[in-house]
Amino acid sequence: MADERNPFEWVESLPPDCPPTDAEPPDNREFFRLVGTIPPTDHDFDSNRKLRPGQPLGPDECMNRACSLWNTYQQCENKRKLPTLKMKKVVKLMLPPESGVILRTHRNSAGHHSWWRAMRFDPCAQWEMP
Amino acid sequence: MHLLQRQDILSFYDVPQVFTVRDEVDTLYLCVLAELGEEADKYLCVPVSNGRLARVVGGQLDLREVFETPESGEVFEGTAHNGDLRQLETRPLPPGAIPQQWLPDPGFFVDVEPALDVEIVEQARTRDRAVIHYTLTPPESAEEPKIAVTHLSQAITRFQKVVEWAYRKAMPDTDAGFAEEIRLPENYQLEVFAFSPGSFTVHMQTVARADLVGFSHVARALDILDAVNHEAQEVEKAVELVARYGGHFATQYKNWLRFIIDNDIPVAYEWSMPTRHYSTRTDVRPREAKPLYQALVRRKDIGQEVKKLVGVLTKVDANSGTWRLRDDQGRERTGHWETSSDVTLAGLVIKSKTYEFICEERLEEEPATGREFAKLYLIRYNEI
Repeated sequence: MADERNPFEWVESLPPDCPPTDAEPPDNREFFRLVGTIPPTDHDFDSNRKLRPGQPLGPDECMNRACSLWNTYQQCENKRKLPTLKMKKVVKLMLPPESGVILRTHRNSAGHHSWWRAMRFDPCAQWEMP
Repeated sequence: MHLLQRQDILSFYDVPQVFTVRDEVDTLYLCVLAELGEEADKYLCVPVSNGRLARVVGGQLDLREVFETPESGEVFEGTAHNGDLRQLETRPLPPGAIPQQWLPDPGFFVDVEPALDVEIVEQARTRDRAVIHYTLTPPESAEEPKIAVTHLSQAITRFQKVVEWAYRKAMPDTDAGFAEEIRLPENYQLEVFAFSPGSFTVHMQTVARADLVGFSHVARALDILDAVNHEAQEVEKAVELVARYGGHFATQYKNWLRFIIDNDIPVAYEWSMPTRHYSTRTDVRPREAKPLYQALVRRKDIGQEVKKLVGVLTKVDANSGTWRLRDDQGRERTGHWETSSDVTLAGLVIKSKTYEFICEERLEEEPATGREFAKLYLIRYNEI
């Protein structure tokens, strides 16, 4: 449910205090993500929690419900060399402010952002080939 | 065996992809997510020394190589049930039994973004100067903290020369609006004031203090250097940026990259100045520097520093291949021409006619002292 602090309805239910208060709307910035098919499906933008309900996963439930994005094409393309990501494809997303909020996370992974997606934003209608 | 304690995530994509763990006897392992399953995920794990891990984290070692050539000869299959990485069960894999699809493709390098150093901001404020932390990771420091003297001295000298020529290029051609003091070498000259304990991070500051509002003029040079380095992965863009400043800056920048590549020394520099409440860090790794260096070498035109002189010839010596020109301010410049070139000074009139000399300025070193000096070589001339 949208409230004053989180003026969005999220695509999935989030725990209290999630997203973090320093997460911000992306302001029409360009990001990159790996998807299973071209064109991508909604499933390509699911969080780890949505894909694996009921499993223990990582200790931070807020992060389990976010979706990974990258600053640059090269950063995203580079991840395709990892074993479980080899068959994926890179797509570009231009995220408007109403698409949700993003936060620079996992600082050990250069360029990584977590994205908490707003219900009313449909990435499958907004993607582009990089 | 169980790997109990997860240490650091080195690459994340929706889930941890590459990370380190320790077992019951504190042995360190590097693991990569190999297969996602309905009930259990599979990982490939190898014991790894601190030295080798440092090369992985520094982006120097291809991840595939870590698993293909494990230091101890052992490779393990890890299993996490229900996505729970707190209990990773492992079993040894026989040599040659690693499924090929479980290995990362060649060319995957961990890309760790280091935490910014808050100490720099404080140092810049208290010292009232720009402060740079210059970090070197030479191969000899993999197992113990040491560095070859030649590596340390060359790393500092090459960096100083790049900063100097970026600074000179940041000055506009005319004097308009620029006080003479901004041109003083103290603005770009650096001095070392400390080392970080246990590493080869050299703490440097400018000789000149910042101005009254806390702006340090070396920022003009460091902004250029940052801009070029940040484009390093987009080689064509980076080359065009270097070409924009060109000349001795291009030459010194190439020399710095060559030092990094030839000696396999990743470097990083992080800087701030009193007006800034943050620092800016740039990493330059040999693997990423190489394509840019090669592209710069191919563009021979951008390293040429062209100077134009106007005046009367006061001397021509065909034997030594030298000439001297005096401008209308009475300043004399001496130069050379290469007898192998098409340029000939035959027929030029001494002392009575004015000429425009287009020259290439080359930086050369005195063999005995290593002191750098500029030498002019005539490319062409016109009578005015």
